[in-house]
Amino acid sequence: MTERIKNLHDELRNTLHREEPPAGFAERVLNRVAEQPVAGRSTPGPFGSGVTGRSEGLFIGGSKGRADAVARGEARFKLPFIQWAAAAALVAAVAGGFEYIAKQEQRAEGEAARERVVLALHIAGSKLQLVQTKINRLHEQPEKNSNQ
Amino acid sequence: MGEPAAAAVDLDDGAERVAPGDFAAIVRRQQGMVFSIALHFLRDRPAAEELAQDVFLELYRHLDSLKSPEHVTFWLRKVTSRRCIDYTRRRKWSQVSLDDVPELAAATTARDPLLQRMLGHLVASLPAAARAVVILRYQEDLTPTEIAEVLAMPIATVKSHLQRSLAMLREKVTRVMGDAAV
Repeated sequence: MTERIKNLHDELRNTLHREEPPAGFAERVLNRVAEQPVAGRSTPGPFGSGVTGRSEGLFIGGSKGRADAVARGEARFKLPFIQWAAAAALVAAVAGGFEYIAKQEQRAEGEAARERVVLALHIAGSKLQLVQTKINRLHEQPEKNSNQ
Repeated sequence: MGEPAAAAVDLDDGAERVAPGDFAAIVRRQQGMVFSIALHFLRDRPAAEELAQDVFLELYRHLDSLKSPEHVTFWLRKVTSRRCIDYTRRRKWSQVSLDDVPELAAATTARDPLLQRMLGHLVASLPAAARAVVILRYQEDLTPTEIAEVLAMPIATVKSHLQRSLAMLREKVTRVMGDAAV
């Protein structure tokens, strides 16, 4: 029984042995790393050009690979700032929009209230004029009667 | 498994980290381990290669946080196993039951390619967690304690997976190939 167990262990080790991937695997991995999105390098960020030294030499040989690695190094340090700046701008824009809408509503309410006050004053004025006219008539009639 | 030592660098803060310049060397040194775990897990070469590439891309993004070559190896085993388990669970419909594995013609000689092929299929038909345990045990030659650390599972669970998987494998192989096979 022990021998059988040993055989199964051995067979499993033989079956599950390490195997090298297809040729060019490492190059394909490095190409995919190089193809990862990189933030633009033309405008230096507020923190300077970023710490790039640790990324140099990522690819053994070739200045293009080194340049890509440097670019990726910069991107690593710039990307969070760009994301934060974009988020802050978005928040500011949304907040500004809400404030503008609130002010517009306040202005519309104020104008409507002013119109209501003006209308009320007009009504009150016309009523007062009507009363004044009636009082004048009442005063005029006794004078006519006495003259007759 | 006798990994050759990889370079590590001392940073200004005194902490030791793997030098990013070694990434290409790490890929070349560890590609066999990562690819083989994926291949034995998935039994699908294109899928195993793609998964292995994804693991190395993730490694590139996390290289700053890895402290030593041993840490890199541990991290690669952990992430590869986790990705394999996730991949298998997402494609559960494509799993083959142990009973569905085609029975090969009887052959009793040791180091039999047919037996190895059958064992490969049987291992690939184990439940995902048990499969990871068996592959790390027999491909990477890890102890149950090390497997428990890599897979973040209790050591009792690792031992239980190993015992049950071996019993199932032995029963199936014996049924097909006779007592002499194992």
